[in-house]
Amino acid sequence: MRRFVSVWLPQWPIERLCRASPGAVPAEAPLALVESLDGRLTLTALNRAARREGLGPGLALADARAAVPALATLPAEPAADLVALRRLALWMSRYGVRIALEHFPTRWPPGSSKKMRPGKNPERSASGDPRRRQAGARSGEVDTGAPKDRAPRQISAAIDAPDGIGIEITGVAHLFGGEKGLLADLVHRLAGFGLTVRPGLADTPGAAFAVARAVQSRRLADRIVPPGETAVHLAPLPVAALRLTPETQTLLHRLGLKTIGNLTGVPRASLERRFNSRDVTAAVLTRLDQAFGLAGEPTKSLVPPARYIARLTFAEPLVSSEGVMAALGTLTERLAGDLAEAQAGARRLALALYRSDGSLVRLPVGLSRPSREAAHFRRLLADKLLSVDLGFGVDLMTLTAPESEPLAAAQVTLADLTSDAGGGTALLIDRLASRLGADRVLRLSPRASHVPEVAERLVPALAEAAPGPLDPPPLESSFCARSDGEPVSTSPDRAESWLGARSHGEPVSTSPDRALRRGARPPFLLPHPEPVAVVAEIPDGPPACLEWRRRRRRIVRAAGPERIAPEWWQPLFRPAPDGAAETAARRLGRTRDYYTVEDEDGRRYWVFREGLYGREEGEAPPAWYLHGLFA
Amino acid sequence: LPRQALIDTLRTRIEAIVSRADPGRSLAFAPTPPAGERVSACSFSPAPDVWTFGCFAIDHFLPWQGLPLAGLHEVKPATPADAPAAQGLAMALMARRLRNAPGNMQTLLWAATWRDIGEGGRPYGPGLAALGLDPARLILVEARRDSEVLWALEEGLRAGALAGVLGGVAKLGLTAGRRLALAAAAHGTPCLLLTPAAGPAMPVAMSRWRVGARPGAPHALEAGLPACLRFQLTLERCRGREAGRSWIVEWSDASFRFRLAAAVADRASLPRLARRRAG
Repeated sequence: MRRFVSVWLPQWPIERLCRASPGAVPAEAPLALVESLDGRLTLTALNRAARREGLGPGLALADARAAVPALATLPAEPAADLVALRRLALWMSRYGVRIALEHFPTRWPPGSSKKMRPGKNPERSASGDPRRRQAGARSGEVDTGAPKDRAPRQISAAIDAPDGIGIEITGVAHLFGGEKGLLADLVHRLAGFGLTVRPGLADTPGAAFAVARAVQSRRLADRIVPPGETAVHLAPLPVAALRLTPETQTLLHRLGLKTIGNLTGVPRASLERRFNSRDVTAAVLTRLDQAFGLAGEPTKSLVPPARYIARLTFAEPLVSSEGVMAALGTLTERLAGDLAEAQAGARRLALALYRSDGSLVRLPVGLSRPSREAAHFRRLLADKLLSVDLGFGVDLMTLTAPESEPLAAAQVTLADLTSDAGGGTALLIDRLASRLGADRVLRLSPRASHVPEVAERLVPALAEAAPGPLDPPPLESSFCARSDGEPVSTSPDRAESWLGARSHGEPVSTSPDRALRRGARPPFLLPHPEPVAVVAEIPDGPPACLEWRRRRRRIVRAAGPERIAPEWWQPLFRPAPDGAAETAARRLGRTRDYYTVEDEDGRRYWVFREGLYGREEGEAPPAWYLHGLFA
Repeated sequence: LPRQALIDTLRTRIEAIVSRADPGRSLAFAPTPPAGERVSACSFSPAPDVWTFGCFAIDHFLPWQGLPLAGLHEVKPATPADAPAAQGLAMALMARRLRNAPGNMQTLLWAATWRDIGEGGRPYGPGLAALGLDPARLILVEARRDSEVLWALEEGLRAGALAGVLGGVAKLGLTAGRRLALAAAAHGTPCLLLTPAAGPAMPVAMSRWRVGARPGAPHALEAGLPACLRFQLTLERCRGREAGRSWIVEWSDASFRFRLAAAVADRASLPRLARRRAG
């Protein structure tokens, strides 16, 4: 049996503001958050003092001011509310495996907004104007039965924002001494943050949602629906608790179906006949089935639920890094034990520190190959843990493996102890990547292209664990082998793909000049080709003089050209207006002539002329670039 | 063909044949042992704890008959403009190490700061393959600062699973150098460190090399084409040998080793042989 908690925070925007800036918000004076809606300022949230004055959300600010002249207002910040709610939801992951923000079509209860009151003309809309009904059904909209002259309603971002958090607590409650203990702990902590909390606990997310929003009692026992008793507990609640849109609620009210019990009492087949639209029926029945667990309700969790979790709670918050390190040792041992039992190895780890002030620190770490070595986990995480601010203390730590792979137990032989079978390289990559960042520990990977900078790809070493077979089939020795008139080899040798050079033992050729004739490649390539000033004897010839980085070099030897045409099958980049981007973009569009040149001191460069004289001078005259360095 | 070119071509061909027959070996063509030292003619294979230039004259000048694996070696450009030459030579040297590394240590760590990458480029797979280095065996670390480069190099040395580490820093403190040297010695992993031309000397390095580019010989077939890369290689510091010995070497694309530049091998460095022949 799965169990779900729904936590409704009815005063979230106001209370968040109080928490974020305690001094700025008056505690006792009436305060409202306002938002511009339909061209006028409207209240979206109010504090207790303002509610006591009889104001409600949805009221125009002018009306509210007339009633309560002392009303203070602040602009609503739906985006900040959402960010903060998400952060709180992440912190709430201490209570369960899956967490999601709960979204309600409108604020509950529906009558609190003037705009959502039922239409004035129920008879007319219940029977319905046939023309309008057809139009509504055709366009897939719900026929609201509202008067024709009503202006299109603008949904307020603030009113429509999520104001609750759903948590799946299946199999977790015993850690808190039962469901009641869990709920009590949750309410206690959230109330400690100064939040108004309305929790609900039931078999389905829908039922928990309904209980959280619609049950009036403050007693926790009334807010827990025991397993299997959903129908009994939900029957007296109003239909609006089923997460229906206001229009549908209005319709149900007109039909006299006020509570969920009324709705379940009607045979399903006759429900469809009463509604004037198939969509409404579908919406009502789906929500009903979801609440009773008859239909599934896929939700996307804010953090991916991990299969392997180790958690450690502390009676007193930890404030010293020694304590956290010791806890890390315990956690890694536990997780490694779980992984070993399941014959799995982690590919990613996430250490979560739940601070007692309601914030969460997550430290993700990637591994280049599956591992379940506690010592390795500890070293990787300890590097990151050192820089963490513990704040007011950490009262819960979890270590999860969000991604894991099967890893069979391996017999360690004597030979393994001295070889790389122990994964020395993989462990090194993990350490480098966790400290420096995965995008800065790289491997080279070949790509089938003639364009030199495209022929090589930098991939994170973490992703590409060990040099295995090539992923893109190599474009064979490309132009090089062919220029020699040799048959193109199809050897699967990996080094083949890197322009035909062989890596082991075999010399490529017996003549030293062959490398030059087939188009030499420099061992070092500049990140971006650098423009150089060149003097050439003839326009199409190799450079005679080269000015690079403000130094003039006289060229005494040159080999080339090796002509590399643009890849016409790739989409051409349009020239951008600004300089740097322009040259980079145009570069793919013009032919290049590569030369290997040596200056009088013996320094060797790889330069190219971009563009052909007479043929590709359209946009700009051909230009020279220095692309690589031999020595 | 001119005689010189013919000899060059023949040499390369023989080298190729030899290294194909036995990849572990390299044939040394410079037949002169260094002064005052007796070397048996058949000492082709280097000792297991060294790696070599593949050049008889240099390898046998060094007290270890090569570069010790368990140590830090410093490579400096002769002038700032020679930095590409220094990094090219270091990469070629590491390529040699990787080719002769045992099967379980087949990875090379290369680390540099973004500044140095912008200055001198980053390793380019097809070009490395031409040096005889399988690019898939390389791990690149792009660091923000020198300290990160040094940290990465030290981690690489401590891992004990690498064929070698190669890195460049703009500035090196004594402590950092000592840490690297100790890690290299303790784990038997060689470390090549590129330091700027003007920087202070590092006393902990087992050897220090000064590298400059040299004009290449004219190509065997056509004088206008560049031939093998040539370097002026000076041993500035070496435990147990007097410093200042200098060679002109060239990198052989065919057999992936260094050799004395032909002109030098024939004349300048062969006084004894020439005398023997004459007498």
